[in-house]
Amino acid sequence: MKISILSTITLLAALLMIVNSPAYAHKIRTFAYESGGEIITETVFSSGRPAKGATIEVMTTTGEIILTGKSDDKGIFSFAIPEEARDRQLNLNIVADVGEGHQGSWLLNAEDYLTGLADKSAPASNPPSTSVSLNEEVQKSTIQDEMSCSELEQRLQEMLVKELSPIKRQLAEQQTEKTSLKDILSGLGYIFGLAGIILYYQSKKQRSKK
Amino acid sequence: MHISEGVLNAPILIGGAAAAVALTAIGLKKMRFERIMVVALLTSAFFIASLIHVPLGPGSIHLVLNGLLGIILGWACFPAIVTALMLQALFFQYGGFTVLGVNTLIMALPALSSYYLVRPWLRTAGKKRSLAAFSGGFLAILFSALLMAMFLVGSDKGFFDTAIIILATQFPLMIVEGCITMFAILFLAKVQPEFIAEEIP
Repeated sequence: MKISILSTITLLAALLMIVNSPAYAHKIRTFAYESGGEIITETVFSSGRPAKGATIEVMTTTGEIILTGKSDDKGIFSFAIPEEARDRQLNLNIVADVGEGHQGSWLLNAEDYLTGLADKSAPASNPPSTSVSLNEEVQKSTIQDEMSCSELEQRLQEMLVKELSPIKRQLAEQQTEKTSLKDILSGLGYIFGLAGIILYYQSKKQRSKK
Repeated sequence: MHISEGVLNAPILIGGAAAAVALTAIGLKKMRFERIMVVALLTSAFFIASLIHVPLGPGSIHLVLNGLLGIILGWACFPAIVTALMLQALFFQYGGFTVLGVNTLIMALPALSSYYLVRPWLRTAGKKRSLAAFSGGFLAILFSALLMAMFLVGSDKGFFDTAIIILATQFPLMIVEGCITMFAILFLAKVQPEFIAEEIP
């Protein structure tokens, strides 16, 4: 009996060690983020492998489908922010389906993907019509300044997109739920706890019979 | 093996849940006092097995171990699998609570069939026992895949195509599970013979 208990414990320990290596599971994880006016969705199996050719449906929270597409070899599907969604400030529900009954979804809130756009449209409205009473030379120079300014702005924006999109991606990815050792151990705890409860009641019954 | 939430329609979900409840009740009734810890041990094995990933096939498959559960537990595999699936849904976000009934049927019915098909052969020692244990694990996955295809008929491309896709992706798993079930049974026969020798109702 002692040996068998020992062997079950070592078996369990071995299992735990295998499991401890991160991200072993099979459900699919989908996440999405905005980058440079596009929404990028990424679908991976939770083992980390990209889900190729998954059907991606973008819909409103009430279930109206706005557009559909397929993920590429890296599990990525990107699309320009649909005007309908921008105008109505819709929260987008992105559902990925890899067949065999596996589905994952991600809710992209309007404020998350519209912030980038708000910044873009804001500078267009304020710059001109500052100098009225100035002489021509000064006016010319301000126009030149403005030109280089807008160019600079564009460059900056491109750079920001480049720098920020990996961060946005990582943030979005972190919000998808991964399995941790804590989950595993608490699950095991529940199982034996339940068994304990059943044993307790059954033993009570048996004692009252005697 | 787990069907996700939002794939199946309501009548199938409700029917599946009702059947699962009834079968679990039978399983609980048949579970004997001395077997409770065995059931708990195998429930935790099933719970964890789903995290062990088999890097084969185009998709992504993990161990199920329903054959092993069925062979050892008999009818008690229903409460065991329901509990494990519930915890998997809670902690690992596999499947989900609305599909719990259907997922239970997909995994527990083949487990029970393995019990009836294979169990009588286990008392014979030697090659017959190994072969029986292997086919117990193998067949459980095969039947699970077929059941899953049946449930997905309405929502996917039709039974035949769905079944072929699922069988193709799950085929490596059938062999892996067959081997694991065989080794587990042989190991148990050595160290814990009462696990498989005892007659369970």
